[in-house]
Amino acid sequence: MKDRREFVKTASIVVAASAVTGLALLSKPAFAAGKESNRTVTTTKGKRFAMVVDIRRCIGCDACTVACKAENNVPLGVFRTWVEKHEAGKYPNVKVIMAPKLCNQCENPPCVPVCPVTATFKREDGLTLIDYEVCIGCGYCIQACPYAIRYFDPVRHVADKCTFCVQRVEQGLKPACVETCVGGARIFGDINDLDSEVSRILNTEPIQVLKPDLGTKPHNFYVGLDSSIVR
Amino acid sequence: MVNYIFPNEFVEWTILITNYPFITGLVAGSFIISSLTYVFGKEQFRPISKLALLTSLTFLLISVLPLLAHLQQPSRATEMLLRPNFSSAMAMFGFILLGYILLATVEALFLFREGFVKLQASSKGVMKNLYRVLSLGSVEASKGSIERDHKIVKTLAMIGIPLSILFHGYVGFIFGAIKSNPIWLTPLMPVIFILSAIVSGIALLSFVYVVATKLSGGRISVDVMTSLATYLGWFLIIDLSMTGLEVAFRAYEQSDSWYGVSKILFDINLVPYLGMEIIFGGVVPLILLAIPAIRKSIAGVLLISALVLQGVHAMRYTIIIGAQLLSKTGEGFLTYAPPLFGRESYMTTISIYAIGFFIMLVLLSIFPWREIEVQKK
Repeated sequence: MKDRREFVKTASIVVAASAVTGLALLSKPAFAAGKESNRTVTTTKGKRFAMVVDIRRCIGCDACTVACKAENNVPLGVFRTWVEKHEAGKYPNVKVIMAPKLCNQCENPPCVPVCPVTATFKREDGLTLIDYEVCIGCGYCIQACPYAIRYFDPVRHVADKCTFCVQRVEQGLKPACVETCVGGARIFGDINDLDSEVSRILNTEPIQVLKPDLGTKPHNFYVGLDSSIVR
Repeated sequence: MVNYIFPNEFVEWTILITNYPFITGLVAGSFIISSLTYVFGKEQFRPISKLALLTSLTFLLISVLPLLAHLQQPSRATEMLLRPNFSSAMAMFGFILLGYILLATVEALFLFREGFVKLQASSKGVMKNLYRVLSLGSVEASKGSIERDHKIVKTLAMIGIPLSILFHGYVGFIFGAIKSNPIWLTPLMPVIFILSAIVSGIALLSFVYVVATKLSGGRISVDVMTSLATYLGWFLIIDLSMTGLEVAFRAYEQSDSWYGVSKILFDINLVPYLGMEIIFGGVVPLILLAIPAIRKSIAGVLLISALVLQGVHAMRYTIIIGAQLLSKTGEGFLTYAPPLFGRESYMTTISIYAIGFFIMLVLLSIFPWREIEVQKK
């Protein structure tokens, strides 16, 4: 019996020691991630950002797509914003339907609850962002986004998407796509500020969102969106 | 609009993710068979119950490999345990897996303790020390201590049944609760996953039993094979009914997603779904099972098991790859062909199974899994 007791004692010490060492080694990245940037920001306190895309003013020049690529260093093959152009109607009565797409910065984002490590989070100012130092690259958020806005960054190997150009917005600037839009089709602002342009449009114009039936409550609103593009 | 898809759409969950639920299915299925003996006293499975637990343990150990190989940041995998998001179905994975590995290992150690003690007495050198470690330093094989072992095994097997259902059911939950993909979005998803898991586990066991018995020079019992086949048949009927129900609901409901779903199931992914899963993985095995001559022959049961295994694998393929081929526009379709070499390729998949079979061989050569073997010594 004594023999056994000794064995169990030695074995438990070995197991406990390796467990402690293992945990200490493993928990290193968790502490390193303590410097999580931009989860809470004071400069945008009390604001709720939103965008209005007035499709009647879109000419399909793709300047927004290019500006976004340049501003955010978006790799080849993936997009944070794009402009769909669909031809419809029968000659001679035809039309081209424009549909600029970007992250909807949902009030109820499906991508946030699914993230197994809370790398994706939604801020008080309405922006859903990604902590690139935490993302494990499982792709669950990409699957969960009903708008196919998210993608794997082929360079950094993490999930990524449109952030409303958070780096500009935090400094009081407009997102790059808004700044560059030649027809002024993209309007960006704070919906908590009743004097803002977005608030005025939301309160006075007929507006639409994409896939409203999914309950995501998008904060990227459309004016003049064709009914064939509700996706 | 012809083939309308979004620019960021790719098949992100590839062939590796197809094999992950296939492997966890094998884990859950074989564990449940091993528990049938220890919890419900199904004596016909006693000759394979130890083998079933070892099979479960083997696949449990490799189940994490396809996921690690798929992660874009595998070095951050431990973040799942260190900063879990409790609202994420996927975050539960780490805890369920750890709990399950712990339970299966402890159950195996107690189940085989009597055998280890006997082997300890009859072996020398390194092996003696190995068996000493495995029996947790115990040298006692009295009737009382063996009865205590049985009690512990029974309790662990009992806890293990819901845990194995949870282990596999949550995989179904991961898919079933995603509203962006209409093929995944159904509460039946976890149910179908669990049923097909049991079916695949039983089918795999018939193979493991035949191969392991042949390798160790034993005699294959036709009774065991027939018992396995009978259970396989019952679970297959329920599994097929649920799969059928799910499609019938969708077809009758005629929601706006039916165009895309039916196009995937009955056109683009027709061969894996209707051909491999439903007909050759479900209907044909059931017909074969109805014939007594086939049901009662070793080759017949192996044939049925092979068909069922490929059917369950095809089901995983349809759920994971097939569903992703449907664009989020609902009007376009993607294409996917796994590469032969590379990170997410056929080679990686084959390597993972090769590791599994190697672990299995090691476990089988160390653990005294045959009832007769223990009795002889």
